[in-house]
Amino acid sequence: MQLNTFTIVGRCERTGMLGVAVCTAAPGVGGYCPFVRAKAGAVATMSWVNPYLAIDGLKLMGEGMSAKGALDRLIAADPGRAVRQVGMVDAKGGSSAYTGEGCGHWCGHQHGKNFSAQGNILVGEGTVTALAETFQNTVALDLPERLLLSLEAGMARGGDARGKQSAGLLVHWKEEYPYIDLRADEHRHPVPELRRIYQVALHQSIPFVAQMPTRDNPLGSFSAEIEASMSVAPAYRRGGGGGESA
Amino acid sequence: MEFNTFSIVGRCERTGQLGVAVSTAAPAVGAYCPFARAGVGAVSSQSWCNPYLAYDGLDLMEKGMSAQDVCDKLLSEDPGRETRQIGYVDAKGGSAAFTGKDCANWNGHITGPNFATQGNLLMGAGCVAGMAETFQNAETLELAERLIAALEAGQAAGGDARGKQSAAVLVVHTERYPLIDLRSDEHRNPIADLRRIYGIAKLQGLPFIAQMPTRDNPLGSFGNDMRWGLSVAPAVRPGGGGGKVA
Repeated sequence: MQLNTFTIVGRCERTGMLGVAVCTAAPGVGGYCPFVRAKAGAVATMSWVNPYLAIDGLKLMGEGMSAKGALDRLIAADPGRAVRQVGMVDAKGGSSAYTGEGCGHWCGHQHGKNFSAQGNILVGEGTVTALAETFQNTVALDLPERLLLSLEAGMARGGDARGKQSAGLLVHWKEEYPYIDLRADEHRHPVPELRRIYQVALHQSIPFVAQMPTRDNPLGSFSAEIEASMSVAPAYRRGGGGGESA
Repeated sequence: MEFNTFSIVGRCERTGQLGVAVSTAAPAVGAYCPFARAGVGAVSSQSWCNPYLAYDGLDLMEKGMSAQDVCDKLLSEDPGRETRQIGYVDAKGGSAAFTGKDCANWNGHITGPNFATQGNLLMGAGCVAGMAETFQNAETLELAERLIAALEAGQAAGGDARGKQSAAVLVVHTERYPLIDLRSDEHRNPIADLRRIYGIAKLQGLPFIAQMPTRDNPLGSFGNDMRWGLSVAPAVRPGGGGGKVA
């Protein structure tokens, strides 16, 4: 699958959260492009997608290899390397990116401490620059917000030359399951739709995820207040929601 | 997080595909409830969601343990068992489900060869019965289609007593990455939206996923038809799409 896409892969220096935000003009990009594992790393695999660059990259970074070491090794072994684009960030903030010579224009990447921004078949270089600048200028914010702001800034600079169709936001923190994992899989304006979903999830998902069982607390916790807040139809909850009364 | 949810976990006898379809009145159910691993099994973790019942269950099934033995072992070890609901299907078609006595009414499950269907805080027993009947009567369809049809039957029988908000379908086949991973994360009619997205992804996603690198073919394949198919804006492709020309 060819995902002509722009993505930001990032790590929060304060919390250690790792994540990816992505937008493309193909359906369901969140199912194939962003991969994250807590305390290991985050990867976006794009252009002619090879998910094993991400799956194997996370395994190598989980074993302690740097993002650069993992990406160099996996790209050297990939017979399709000329058509791949990949960004990786490891759990220490090391980053690396690769754009094969066969990726569609405009294509390129920028990476630095704690982030990697990349895209292909873009309107122009401004999208990747905006991803990188926004991420670097928002260190005081939580990682999901920074990634989403970066995606919005990239979209505002043109984004995918073919239009747009899907977007995703994936952040892991301490557990094997995600801290936040949101998708707009088929939408006319996927980045604003992802922002809308995120604002609902801030009230209706994140407080619950914080209560789920962890490896250290297999019971999890149960707040009557939070349970009550979700016992009504979505439209009557904080943050509202598209759901309707039964 | 409490997912008052209805779900179907299923296996295709012909292809060996494994998957889950789920809907609930909380955002982004696809992020925390459905889990599947190719050649191993599929799981839906709901009510007071414990994702580790799924991760650890897949690890045990990969070592050859049956769905029933996995379910018995992991629930007996979970201090929160009476608040959990879970369905497992293994790669041989064995199935098991558990509904803790503190799950909200109506709650229950039905299992059979190749499927487990379960729900809680439902309008009534018809939802789970409708999912089971539809899945069993649709063997000639592709697994994703069967799972979505079962979900539609569950919704038609009442679904979640609080309304509806999100839905997801996840199917794995031979690779570590999914064959189908589609979500409607925050929508007034999430199952109808999931059906719409699936219709587009069948034309614009699945043909490309079939070309992705595999463990046996690390290059992948590059059909010219496929390359052209996604080179235009979403709205003018087969199946159309919400995206528009930039």
